[in-house]
Amino acid sequence: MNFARYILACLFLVVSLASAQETYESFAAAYGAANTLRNQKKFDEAFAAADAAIALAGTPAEQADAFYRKGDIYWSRGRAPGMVESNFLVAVNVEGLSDARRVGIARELVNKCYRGRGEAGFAKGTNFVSALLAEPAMTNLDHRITLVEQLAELYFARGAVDAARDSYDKLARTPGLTPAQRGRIASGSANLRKRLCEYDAAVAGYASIYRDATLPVNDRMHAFNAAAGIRRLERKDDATISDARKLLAEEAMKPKQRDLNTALLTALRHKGDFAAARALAESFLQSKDAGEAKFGALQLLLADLAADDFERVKRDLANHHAAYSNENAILRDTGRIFMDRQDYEGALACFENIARHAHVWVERDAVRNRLLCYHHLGRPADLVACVADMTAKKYFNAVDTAGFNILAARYTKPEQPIDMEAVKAVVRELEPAQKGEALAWAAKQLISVGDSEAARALYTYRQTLFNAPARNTAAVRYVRNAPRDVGSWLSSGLLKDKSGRHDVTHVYGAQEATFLVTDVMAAGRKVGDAGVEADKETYFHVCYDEYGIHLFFVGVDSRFRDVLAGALGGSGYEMYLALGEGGPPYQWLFEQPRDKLDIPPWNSPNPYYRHMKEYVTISSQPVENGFATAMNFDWALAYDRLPENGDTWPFELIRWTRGGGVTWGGKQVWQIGNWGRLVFEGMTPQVRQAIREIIIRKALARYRAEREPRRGGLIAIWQDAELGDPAFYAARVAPLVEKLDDYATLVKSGMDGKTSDLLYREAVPLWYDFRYAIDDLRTEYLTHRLTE
Amino acid sequence: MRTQHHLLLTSLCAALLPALAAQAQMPSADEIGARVARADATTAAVKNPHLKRLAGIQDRGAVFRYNALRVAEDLKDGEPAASFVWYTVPALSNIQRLPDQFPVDGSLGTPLRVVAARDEFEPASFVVYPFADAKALQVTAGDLRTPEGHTIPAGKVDVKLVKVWYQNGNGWYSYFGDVGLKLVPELLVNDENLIKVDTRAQANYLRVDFPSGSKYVWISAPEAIDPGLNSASAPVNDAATLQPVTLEAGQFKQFMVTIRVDKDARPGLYTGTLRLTLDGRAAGGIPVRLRVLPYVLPEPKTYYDPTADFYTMLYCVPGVDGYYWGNGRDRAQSDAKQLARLRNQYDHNIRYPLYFGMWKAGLENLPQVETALAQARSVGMRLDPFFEAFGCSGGDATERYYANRYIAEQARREYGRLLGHTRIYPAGGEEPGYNSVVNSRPNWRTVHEFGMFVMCNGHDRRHFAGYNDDFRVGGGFASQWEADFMHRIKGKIGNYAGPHTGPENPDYMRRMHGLNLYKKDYDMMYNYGYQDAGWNDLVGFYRNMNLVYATKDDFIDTLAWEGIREGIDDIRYATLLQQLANRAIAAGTAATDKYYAGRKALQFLALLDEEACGLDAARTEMIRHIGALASLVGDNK
Repeated sequence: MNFARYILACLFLVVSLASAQETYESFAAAYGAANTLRNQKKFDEAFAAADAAIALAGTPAEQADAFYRKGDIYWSRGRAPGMVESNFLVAVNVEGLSDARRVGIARELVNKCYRGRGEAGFAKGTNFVSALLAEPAMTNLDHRITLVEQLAELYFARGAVDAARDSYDKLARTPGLTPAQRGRIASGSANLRKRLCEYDAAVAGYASIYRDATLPVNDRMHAFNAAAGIRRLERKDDATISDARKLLAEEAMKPKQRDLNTALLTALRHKGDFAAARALAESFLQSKDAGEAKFGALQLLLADLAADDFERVKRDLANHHAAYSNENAILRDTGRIFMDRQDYEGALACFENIARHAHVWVERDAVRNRLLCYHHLGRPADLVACVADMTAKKYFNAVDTAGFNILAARYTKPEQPIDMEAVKAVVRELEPAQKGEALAWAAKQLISVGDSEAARALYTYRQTLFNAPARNTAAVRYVRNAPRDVGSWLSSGLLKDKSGRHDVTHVYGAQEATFLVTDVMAAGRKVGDAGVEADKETYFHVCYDEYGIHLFFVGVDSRFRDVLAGALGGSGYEMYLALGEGGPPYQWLFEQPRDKLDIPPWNSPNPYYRHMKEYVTISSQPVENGFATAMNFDWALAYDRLPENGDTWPFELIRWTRGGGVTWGGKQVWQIGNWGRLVFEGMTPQVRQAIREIIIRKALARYRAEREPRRGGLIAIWQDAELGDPAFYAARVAPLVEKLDDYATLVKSGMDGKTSDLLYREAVPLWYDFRYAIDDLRTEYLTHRLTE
Repeated sequence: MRTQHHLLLTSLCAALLPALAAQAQMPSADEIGARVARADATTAAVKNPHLKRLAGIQDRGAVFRYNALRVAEDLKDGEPAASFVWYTVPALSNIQRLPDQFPVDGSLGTPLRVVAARDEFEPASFVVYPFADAKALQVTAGDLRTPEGHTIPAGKVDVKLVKVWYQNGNGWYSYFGDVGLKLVPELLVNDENLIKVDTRAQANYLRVDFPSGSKYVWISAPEAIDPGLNSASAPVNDAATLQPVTLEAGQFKQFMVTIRVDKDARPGLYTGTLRLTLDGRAAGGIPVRLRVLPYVLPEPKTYYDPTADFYTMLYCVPGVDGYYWGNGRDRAQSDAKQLARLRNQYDHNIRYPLYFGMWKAGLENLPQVETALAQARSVGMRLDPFFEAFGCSGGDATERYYANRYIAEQARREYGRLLGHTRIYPAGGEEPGYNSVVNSRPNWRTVHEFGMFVMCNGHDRRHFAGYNDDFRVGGGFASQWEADFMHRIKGKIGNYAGPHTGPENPDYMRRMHGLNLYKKDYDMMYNYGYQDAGWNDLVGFYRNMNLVYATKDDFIDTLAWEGIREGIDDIRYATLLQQLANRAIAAGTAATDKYYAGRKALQFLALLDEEACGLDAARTEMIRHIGALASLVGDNK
């Protein structure tokens, strides 16, 4: 029924695409066009051409080919596996189609629609193939072998390996097989065993083929190489060597002498019998046949390379120079080895011999290495001559040529600083991007040979070709009674000040986002998908007061109601703040509108660094156009590095929307050099004094808690006779406590500036971080006792 | 004496205070004294190095001026023996000891005090502050001796210069790439001239000994022009012993002293001296006082089960044969370097070798595997169990399943032959996602059927793996609940990337690889990596994740690497403490002093805040508890 509907649909399509048909005068034209358009990925046009071919098809073969082509276009395009299958089925069932063609299409059908497609695909595939095999007319053994191969593949993909093996075993017992058919079955069976890692059985199967003199030599050679590969893996090269020698003696294998000798030499090298490999290679060198001699030279080089005998390699290169002129890959790799060994003469022998008609990238690499070798060998004139030679080659592009010429300019007068005027002349005609590329390439070469000053000069010039990236800054101003939550921000007048709004506009690079997926440290970040549409408008405001820094930001999200309903995820945020230039950086992540912060610990807490978690609050809520968040950073986090007017603090805000990231600084995560900067303003002496007084009180409260035994206060614990150390307390802690207690008596409301300064300098660090002071005292106390 | 002292300071300040020098050729002693007095008012506050602003210090010149005054204040009536002084400082500190960083935690002219168990490396450190330029300060270790005549030979006292160089703007704190550069102390070198640091151009240069002569290669070039440097082949090597260093007036230089106490060293108090020679003349010495404790530390065990091993290993790129393929195929040099790497790792408490991509397939690289195992064994590495011997991920496709099954079968046979056991943990994947873990189930089952175990790194996967995952190596910062989960389902847990290597801060690295993992009940420290990249910190999305920098034949240690060694030593001390405490407790309540001492020690350990405690304080306290417990249970070995 489905099939009938499909035919009707096709007929409808043929009618409706009459205009398309008119463009094809014959089946062949339409069929060919369908193929070409498919290759060009112009699928709509390819379908039209295929439909035209279907309409124009006359013979059963043409009909089948046309439907097959259409199914194949579906397969290439993807997305509609059912259409692939149905078209292939139409093709395979075209009445009057030859069995050979039916079996060919059946193989494609199994491969593309059934194999590896789960239980359903397996069932469909095995039923389909079994049905074909059961057809009374399907008697041709070659066709039956093809079908059984498909059946075995279906079993294999499903993990039914016994059934797969049985398929071949039964087939092998079919009466009336020709030697070629026997060989084909044996090969299929051996391939199966190889894929099952049943290497002994696989090798036995291959051996039965290559030892059978009745089989075609190509099949025997193919089987031999397959067996040799397994033996190499299992370090059983002796068997390969022995059998290769036997086959070499066979008259029937004469056409495969070169292949057999290659296999033999490979096995000898792999076994480590380099002397035998050399001897065999040298035997070819004596041949009057130029091809044989060249083969010998190459095999000699391979033997010496495998033996890591680089003195011999150099001799080979010198003695058989001409034989290697087309062996660019070997010369390139050998040259690099010599470069790694700092044997620049040896390297030159390779790179100078790279064929002139080598692929351009091979030769570019060879030229580069030649120039490096000339430099290391103190041959600047040869370097310049080489460049002149290469420049004359028209197929190097303008950037390559300029790069070579920059080096020539450098080494025309090697004893002097690089002549930048000459360099500029070299690149003058290039496009700016090409100039940058050529200069960078040349600078790399100069750095690698230790010509750093010349490289720096090139780089300095190169940088003048680019606009210096602008850095964002945001003024952070003092605000009395600064807002601390979303509501107070919204009702404050601060948001009306457009100069205080800072937009986060740079799209985060897809390449960099890809890297983040593998960053296990913060794998929770949701980097989004650049292919998804999402609002990205993001902006922030920031100010400070006596208590800390206050940050407010909005992520515009027109679907915020869906987020609130849980139907969509909110935006992730990744933010950074460093406490001054060179100061410790903090990173935190969270997801709007949740208020749970993830703050990775990028340092141990110590007297000069505090974990942020105790010093920050966050709250978010929906607003009319998305979500808004308010964050408050307590000055105590930075009590030892309060900013002054004009001080800059690096800051970055990245918003990960459902459609990818936007950043303020414009670059990747953690790139502190590209973050924007918060610039502090309005830090009057009065404001500073107010901030300090608040911190003084907080520090004192923290110190006083050290007297609390229930909270594990250190002053309490160290005096304890059982769990503390009263002697230590008396000797080291008590004097400090006495001093700090004295300072505590100075804390009063309305302290004068002098007192406040004194306490801030002398007492706050010790009050605030009393435990670190005690740690130091304890370490010193115990270490002294142990080393006196 | 006082006059000489003030003359020195006078000269110093004249050199460092241009404004002052402009007023008078030679300020009077009283004027210097007055400046010291004025500085005195600010000194306590600037115990915090970042409170320099309080002293009115606004620029580099002023920092130098301030440092001079601080040193002058510390000298008081003392008289320096030469035109420099030294401060002993904590070896592994959060403070970046830059040339202009006054050692706020230092102690002027005091001995280096070191406490070490037998068979332990222990660091100490000092910074030198010169009053005048000098071409060559030579520091030479002498023998350390007890009054009874026992000796730790000078050869066991390794002195290195802490090289300050440029690293990217995230230096000291994170492992991510950046475009800027800043000075960071990191390398422990014998020859300070191996790397030349140009503060004017903000650049590092590495000395490369080309056949045609040595040249300094720019190794901090911007990524666009960085050619890379093949550390397996480039002729770069540090000197074998500490070379003389230059001194610049007013600039601090840090030295790291690492004492290796052999297993057979006799316990006791050893004293000796680091001899100093300045421009060829004897310039005094730095006293060294070493207490060798009477015991050998046990191998690290876990906190939750003091009988279970705590495994230590590090990823290393390149893996087996990597040096060979990078060094121009010089097998002997490759093997020697691989051995040097293993020794270096073992000496830093890495007990299990980890070979990146060890088993290729089949028996193809078996000779190299055999060599690698023999080398690991020769340096004392432990090979039972054996981790990440081969890969066992995938398995949903028939071909992959059988290929992996074949490798697993061979691995069991060959490793069984080479190791004498099959307690093998193949790698179950490389940070696999959900699909990959699910697809790997058939192969993980194969591994279990063969009597081996699965180890796999990556993200949290408790909802779809765990039951078949014997050793989860979690990426990211360690968490107690993740450890609890794995233990509750009879598995084990390791950690990496919490953080990755890269941050130079030795205190941070010590904590995160040591007590932080231990107290959170982890079973393994397994970080990436030991040495994954070259010299240029401006290249790549991530920084160079290097604990060492590879030279052609060896490795240059770093502050972070020393920190990790001490972090594992912290765990070894904690392990000994637990073992002794448990023995004391086992004596029962009838032996109340023992019983209490054991429980007090455990209480101390339980209350120790692994995220914030002072690590040196924790160590000395553990040593105190161990001493008390050892005497109570009658075990001083």
